[in-house]
Amino acid sequence: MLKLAGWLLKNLFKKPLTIEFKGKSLKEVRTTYRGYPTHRGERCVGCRLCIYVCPSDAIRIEGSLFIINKCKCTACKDCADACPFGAMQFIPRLIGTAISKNEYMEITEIKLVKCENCGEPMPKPELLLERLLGKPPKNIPSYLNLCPKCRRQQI
Amino acid sequence: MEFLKELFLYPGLFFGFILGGLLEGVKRKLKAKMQLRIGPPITQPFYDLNKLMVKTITKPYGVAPSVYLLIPFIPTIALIFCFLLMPYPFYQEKTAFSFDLILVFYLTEIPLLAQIIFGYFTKSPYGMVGAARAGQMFFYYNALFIMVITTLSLLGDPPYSFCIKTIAEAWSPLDIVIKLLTLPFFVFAVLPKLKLNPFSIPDAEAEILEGPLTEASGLALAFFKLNYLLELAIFGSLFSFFYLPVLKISPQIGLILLLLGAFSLTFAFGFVENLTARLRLSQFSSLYLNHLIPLATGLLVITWILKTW
Repeated sequence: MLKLAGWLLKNLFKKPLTIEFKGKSLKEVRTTYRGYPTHRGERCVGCRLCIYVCPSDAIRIEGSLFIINKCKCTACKDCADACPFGAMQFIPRLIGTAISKNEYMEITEIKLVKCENCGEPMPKPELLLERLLGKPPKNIPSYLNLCPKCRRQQI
Repeated sequence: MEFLKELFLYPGLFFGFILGGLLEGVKRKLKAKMQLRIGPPITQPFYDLNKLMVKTITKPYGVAPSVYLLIPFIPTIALIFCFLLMPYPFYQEKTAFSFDLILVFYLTEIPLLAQIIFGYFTKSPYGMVGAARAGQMFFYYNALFIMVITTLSLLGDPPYSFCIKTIAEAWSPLDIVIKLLTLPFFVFAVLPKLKLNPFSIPDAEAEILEGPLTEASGLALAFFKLNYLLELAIFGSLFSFFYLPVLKISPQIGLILLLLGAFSLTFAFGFVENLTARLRLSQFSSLYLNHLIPLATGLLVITWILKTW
């Protein structure tokens, strides 16, 4: 024990073996790090495919709000693979400790457009065309600004 | 108004909180240095407490929230009053309090009793084991502490009293020898009171998580941590009053000496924590029952004979 006491007292005047973290915050991550999902409301059509494929039940939609629970998310990327419009994006950003559980909840609004005739919310026509044509459309036909119900009535 | 200032600023809550936080910060830094680590900044206990204050409370089912918060809050009040019972420089000249060591002893027991109650109240098996261990240890180290304070109360001139000021002002050659002899017993009584290694038996991290505080979270845990910091400041101050001539010199130098004494006790605690491994409960009881308590009793009898002869 005396030997150990001597070591401990000598250590007080030695340089530490550990090194200080230089970045102060964890900004840099490895290139292989996938990160956590982020929802892009402007690209979402509310089709719920991501909810269907999510194995950990981390996504839910309440009204027009899209909620990702990052406590439950396992970063499997199934939602991003399933989304037809690329609304789920993985950003290689670290999530650290939080003061409240709410800080792990990402809440975004699904931005739908309204039907020009009845005002019902419906997916953005440019997103559908982009999916159909494989590239962003140059101009949108006027009938696509109507919801499917109003379109059928007009025909 | 003056009383509120004393209660919340000096020597009350603010002084105790800052001193306790710095003592804990220095202890952690010194422990890290001894292990060749960089360690947290000295102000880390304040950050920890700040974070705990705003964290969400996760309490067990069936536990009333008011009682959950009340149990750690009562000892905080007791400990703040404890500061008013100690003859701090710039305070002892103007106060009407009697600096009763017995009262300080009782008040510093309240945090531990609260932890024991909390351990059973939260119904956690770890909490219950920790509380049972704390309850068993309570009798051993308090017997030693009572022997130490009774021996110290015989210092100075008759009539003998438990007044901290009288003990702090007793510096005759015989008093110095008795004080030096009681020093190791004081350290051995305070180490388990603060649940520091090798006597961190109730908080055995590897086996029973956090002992009685396993289910404490958020504001409740913040109060328990605050109580610990206040206790550290109280015992550091008591050490300075007993073993350094704080009240025999000018108040300015006395206050500096008091702080130095508290920090040196913290250094000793950090050193002992690094040097020793945690004891088992049976080893602890055997050490206190077979060696420390009989020796402290012997010292008390010898002091009494020398003083009354």
